[in-house]
Amino acid sequence: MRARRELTGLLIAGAVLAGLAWGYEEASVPDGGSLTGSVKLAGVPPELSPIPVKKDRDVCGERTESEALVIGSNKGVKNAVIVVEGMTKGRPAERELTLDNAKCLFVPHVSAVMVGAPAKAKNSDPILHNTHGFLERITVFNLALPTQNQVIDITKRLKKPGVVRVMCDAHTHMFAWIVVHDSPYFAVTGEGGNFKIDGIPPGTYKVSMWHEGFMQRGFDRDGRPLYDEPRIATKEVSIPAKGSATVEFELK
Amino acid sequence: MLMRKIGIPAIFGVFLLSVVASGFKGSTVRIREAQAQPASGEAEGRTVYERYCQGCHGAEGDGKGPDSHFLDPSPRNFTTGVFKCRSTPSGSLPTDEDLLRIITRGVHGTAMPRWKPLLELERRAVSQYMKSFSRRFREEKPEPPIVIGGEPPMSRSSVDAGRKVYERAKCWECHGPGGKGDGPSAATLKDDWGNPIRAYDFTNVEAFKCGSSAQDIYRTFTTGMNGTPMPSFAGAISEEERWQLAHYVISLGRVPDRPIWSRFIREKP
Repeated sequence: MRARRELTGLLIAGAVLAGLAWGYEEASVPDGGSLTGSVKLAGVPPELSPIPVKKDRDVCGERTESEALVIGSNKGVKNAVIVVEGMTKGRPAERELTLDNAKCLFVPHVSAVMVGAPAKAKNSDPILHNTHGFLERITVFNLALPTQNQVIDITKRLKKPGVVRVMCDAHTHMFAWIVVHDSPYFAVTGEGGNFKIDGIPPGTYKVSMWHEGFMQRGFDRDGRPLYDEPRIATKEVSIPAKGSATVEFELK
Repeated sequence: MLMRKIGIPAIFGVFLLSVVASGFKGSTVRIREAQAQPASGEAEGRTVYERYCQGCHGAEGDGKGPDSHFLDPSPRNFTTGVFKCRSTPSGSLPTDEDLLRIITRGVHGTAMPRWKPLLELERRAVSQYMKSFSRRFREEKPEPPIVIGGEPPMSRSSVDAGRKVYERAKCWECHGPGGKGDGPSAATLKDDWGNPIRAYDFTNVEAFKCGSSAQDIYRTFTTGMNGTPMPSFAGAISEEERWQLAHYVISLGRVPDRPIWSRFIREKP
């Protein structure tokens, strides 16, 4: 319940920031600092059951491993998203996003992108996928990708900051997340749970960690896996000029 | 037992008739009032809403009016700003004209009647009032409508080409190989609110929710139906292919033994 309230809070904050995002100003950051850190799991990793595949098993296989919690060395958590909040000025967006449907999985499973940065949905499989994104449970895009190697632009569909949940109506085992942020100051943790964000103007900022939630709540009637609410934690971090700061998050 | 079978549709029919009749009765009253004094925007919209819409769509616009319990599909919840029938791209809000069109035509296959008997002034006013239930209409603007070019003539060859597009674009996965809404994905389809939703049966030609002309069907392929699993095929198949597909989909409903009167109840824009 608390997590949901926090999420709602974050989403409302996101909606408010959406207004400010118009005002994000690109500028060179000569004295920018960097933020490094990691996300680690506290406690014993839960056993996540594989997700049964209901359709197109010749392409998709019988089942897929759950990607809701991916633990690397030292209990580092992959696929957590770190965002620096309240940035109104700084370096331009340099990354673009391609959300691929590959072997009946969304790749990457978790991604982040800045509002307005180029974003695409792709189908690498020889079968129909439809890439269906929801922000606050409302459809923001629902695109048919019937043809192999088809690419459709979704830049304009991601115009509001927030967490977009992506599903495929054709395959109940597929799901993914896109964190849409109002500045380019974000990172998705890698295999070992580590991340690095560069070129941050010196100052004190709120830094938030988002993870999709991983405690399994079973499956719905159609075989879609159910997990608990996303986890969110926020810390305050001071970034020194041309220096480096670190922040560690623990996922419970 | 027989009584019960007849009873429910009969009661429902009487209810629908009363809704439509009240629309007719209301329009005469409203014409007089409208002539007496010009519409005052929101107040006018609210009056119309409270009179005709609130019973199903609720005072808060959340689709939970007192009559909503008897309706399947459920009345639209206006607080989310999600509408199936639009001229705008997937995920976008509808335009004012889209809302006016839905109110004017009604939604086939549902309890939403056509409100053409109301003055256009009243329909426009109530559509503005509907928008006030969702903050999305204050925060976002609808994206520009899609452009629908000239329709090529429907012919045997366009229908045949459309059949191939139907296969290639995998329409059959939900709508079934014969268009009867019984494809392999049909069983697990849900709307945005988690309610089971049926893939449309194209052999039922009168009840396309967003209209059954080739232009209407073309528009639905292109925009998708927000809030449902029906995706947008913009970018996935070409404009020519979308016309061919529309012609094929229309052809699925042309069954020789269909009663002649069925043509007369098709909605005109």
